[in-house]
Amino acid sequence: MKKHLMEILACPLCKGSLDLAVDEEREEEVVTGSLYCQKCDERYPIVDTIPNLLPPELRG
Amino acid sequence: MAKVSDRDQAEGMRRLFARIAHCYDLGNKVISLGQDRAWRKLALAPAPRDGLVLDIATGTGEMALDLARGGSKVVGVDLSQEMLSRCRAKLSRKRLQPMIDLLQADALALPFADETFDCATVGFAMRNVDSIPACFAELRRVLKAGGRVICLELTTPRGRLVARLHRLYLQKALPFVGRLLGRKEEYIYLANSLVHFPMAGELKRIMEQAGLSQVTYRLLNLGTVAIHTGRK
Repeated sequence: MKKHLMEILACPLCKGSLDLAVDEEREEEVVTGSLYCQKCDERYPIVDTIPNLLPPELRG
Repeated sequence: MAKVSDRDQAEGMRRLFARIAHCYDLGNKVISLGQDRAWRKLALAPAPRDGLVLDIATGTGEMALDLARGGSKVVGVDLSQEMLSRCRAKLSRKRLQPMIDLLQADALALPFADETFDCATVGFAMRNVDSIPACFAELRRVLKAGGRVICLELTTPRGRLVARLHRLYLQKALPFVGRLLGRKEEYIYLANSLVHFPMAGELKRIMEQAGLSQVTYRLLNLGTVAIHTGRK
């Protein structure tokens, strides 16, 4: 996930802002990490550069 | 209207497309008799050349790639991680990663702020969403004022003879293609998904009821493919 995507991303549930936590980064791209919504107390994983922002009931 | 919490169909779609991700592009080319690329090109003609475009159910990225080649910045979302992995590999081969961002997301609960995109596109996927009205409403939410929705989809033709031939083609050809690809059941489902999909005129009304304006549609391929466009 490129970091500039944070400018447009929102929580899929409340549409509020998300906090980015980076575990691994490669050339300005987040490889693993997470996006956290404080309001919903929901954490969305970033795995292999692709953030998973599915609502919790679809994140099988 | 489907509630976002009642999502059995979406979960089923996520699993189905995970199973056919490896053969999806080939299947589309065979089923469309090689015309899918030309249909996409026609559908994307009104897309802005220098804007930010959201492509929902981006799958293996065929629409997103055509948009990026035209100069658009694209955000592609899909339910299926397997489809997105295929898409990412394709972007890497074609060196188009700088133009396209990918993320796993649901078309009925998009992870974007209001009024983010200049255009939203959906190619051959509107018939698979839980709720068509809810999907158009969500696309409208994330579009900027004046932004455009482009929907390319199979449709049932109006003439009785063409409709009968079309039904026969779907009932026989799609399962045959599915069998060749080792995924017969999945392709039978995709053929049946058109049966309950609204006709082109009805889809236009659904778009208008979702708050889109200037909604028009164009039929291709003897009326079996429709391109709908509308504005926020």
